[in-house]
Amino acid sequence: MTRAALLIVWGWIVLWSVISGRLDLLLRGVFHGLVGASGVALILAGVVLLIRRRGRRERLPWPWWSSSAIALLVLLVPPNPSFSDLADSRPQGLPEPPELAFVLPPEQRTLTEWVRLLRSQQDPDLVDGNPVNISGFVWTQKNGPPLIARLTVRCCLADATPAGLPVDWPDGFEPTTNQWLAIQGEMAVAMRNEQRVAVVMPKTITPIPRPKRPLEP
Amino acid sequence: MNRRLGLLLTLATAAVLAQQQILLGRPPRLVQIKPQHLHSGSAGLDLNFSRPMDLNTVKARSDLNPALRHRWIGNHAALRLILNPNKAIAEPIELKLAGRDLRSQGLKPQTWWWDPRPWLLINRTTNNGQQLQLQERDGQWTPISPTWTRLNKIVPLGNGRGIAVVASNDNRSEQIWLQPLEPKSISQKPDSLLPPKPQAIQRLAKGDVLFAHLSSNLNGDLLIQTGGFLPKSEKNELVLANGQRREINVRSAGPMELLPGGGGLVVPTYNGINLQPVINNNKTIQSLPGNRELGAFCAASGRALLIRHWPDYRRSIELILPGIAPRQLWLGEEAVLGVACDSKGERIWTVIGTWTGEWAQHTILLMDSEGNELNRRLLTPWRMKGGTPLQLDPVGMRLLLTVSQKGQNSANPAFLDAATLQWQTIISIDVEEAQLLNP
Repeated sequence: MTRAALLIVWGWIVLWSVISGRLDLLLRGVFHGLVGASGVALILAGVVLLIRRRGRRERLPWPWWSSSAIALLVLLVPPNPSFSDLADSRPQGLPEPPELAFVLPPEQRTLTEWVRLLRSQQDPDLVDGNPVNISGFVWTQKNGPPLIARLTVRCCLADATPAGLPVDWPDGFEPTTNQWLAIQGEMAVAMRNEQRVAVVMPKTITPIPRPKRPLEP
Repeated sequence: MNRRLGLLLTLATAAVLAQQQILLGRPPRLVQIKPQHLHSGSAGLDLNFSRPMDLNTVKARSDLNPALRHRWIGNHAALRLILNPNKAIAEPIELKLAGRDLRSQGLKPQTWWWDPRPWLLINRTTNNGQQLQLQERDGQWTPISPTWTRLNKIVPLGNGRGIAVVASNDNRSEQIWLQPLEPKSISQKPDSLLPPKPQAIQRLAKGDVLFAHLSSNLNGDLLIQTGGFLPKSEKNELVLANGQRREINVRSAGPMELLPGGGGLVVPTYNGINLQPVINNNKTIQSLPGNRELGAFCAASGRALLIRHWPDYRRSIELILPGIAPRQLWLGEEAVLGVACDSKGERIWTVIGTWTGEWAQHTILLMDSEGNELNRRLLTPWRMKGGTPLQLDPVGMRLLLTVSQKGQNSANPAFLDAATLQWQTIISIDVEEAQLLNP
């Protein structure tokens, strides 16, 4: 009976993570259906177990109790990951870009598309003066000013790869680690670490809430 | 059994460690060196190494002869050399390459010869028909294609690895061919720098078509737009530089052009022109209404020139900068025969024509990006042949035109100094059209 209830609770948690959007912090949207189906499967398994063992009392081993405690914590404490910390610990190689997708027009490029473009075409002068309209979180750097960044994933947070762009932060503006910002401005060429690099020159910086789907493919 | 397994595992571990130590001790190698046509300077060269290189040591230890203004960019194992000289390049460049990788292992110093100058390509009428020919550095002309009755369109691939043509043998139908080329513009010996070598010609479309239009980008991709003899037989196909083909489902009201940087298209519509991705990625298409046509792209910078036709028969030249409205540079009643711009759209050249009664008088203008006239020169007694391009050679800092004189049936290739607009040379060979071919 208790085992069945626990299975149903876990199934509900999985299903609810999909419905509430919590899963967007962990997994690409294309896989959400699969996770939702596993939640339904867990609930069904719990219901079947409930019917079969109705009225029986069970003695549960301690891992089941700890699992119950974790389930409760998942329900009560909303996730609030530090993307900046995660980005620090991840390799820099971006997944291959979706084919021929990042070209047009500059103001429609996402931050990840900008990073892919600048990595495939490393000549910053080619994008000098292009309009920029991006959003991302503030990624603190050990050496140098913070970047505006996004995490890209093939599947889930476990394979997350950061994509960051240098920003010429205006005087008086203090970017806070993990703060989500929308930046409108244009690309310029600047010297950083004795190299010419493309730098975002913001015209407006607007703090925004974390997007519903913060991970980009 | 366990002992044997343990021994095997130990041996495997030892082999891996030994391999790791051997590889760690190996110096970096140059894996690939090739011209890069997507750049913001006069010429570009891509260098790929076996290990991530220290850019500063490559910058400090490598050398160019003649000493031209240049810059190194890139990181990790892929570096790019971009030339930004303030004078025309008139000879091959000697690149002495050296540097260290990020573990301070030295690259074996080596010398490369690189000729970034484009080739002059002409369509010439011979006894058997029209043929593509290339001018060698010593001025000799070399045939690089078979002969057709007529060549209606010539499109050199942006990466210099071929020339696509629309040919006709009967003036009623057209065929599409690709003359592949093997460039030889980089070598470790100066005498191995040779004109591109023609390979076996390929037919790009089965059978004959009613009309065909071609466009190439700097990656070497080719867009083929064809229409057959039956209704709804129009077809758009993209032949990628690696040979892959894919159909493009885009409706247009005229010839489409690939963007130089790849991935995008300029599509004429009945209401104006659209800028859209080759692959539909569900992003908004940018539309520009009005009777406009594409004049020229300013290399890969995202800038371009448009020619706008007004209802009162005037024309204007507009500069397109990403994200802002077109900027009108020139407006007049003269015909616009050709436009060209530098890689950043900071210098714009145009040939305009005025009808003087029995002969059109052509003038070349040099403008800045605000439309201020910097220089102007009358081309008389020459004039630009209609339907041929005005092209900028950023390496030689000159302009290529196909020109003819009054009473002359044929035309000649001619080079103008891009700054002074003075004639540099008018080559005494009869041609239908002259174009530049990337090295």
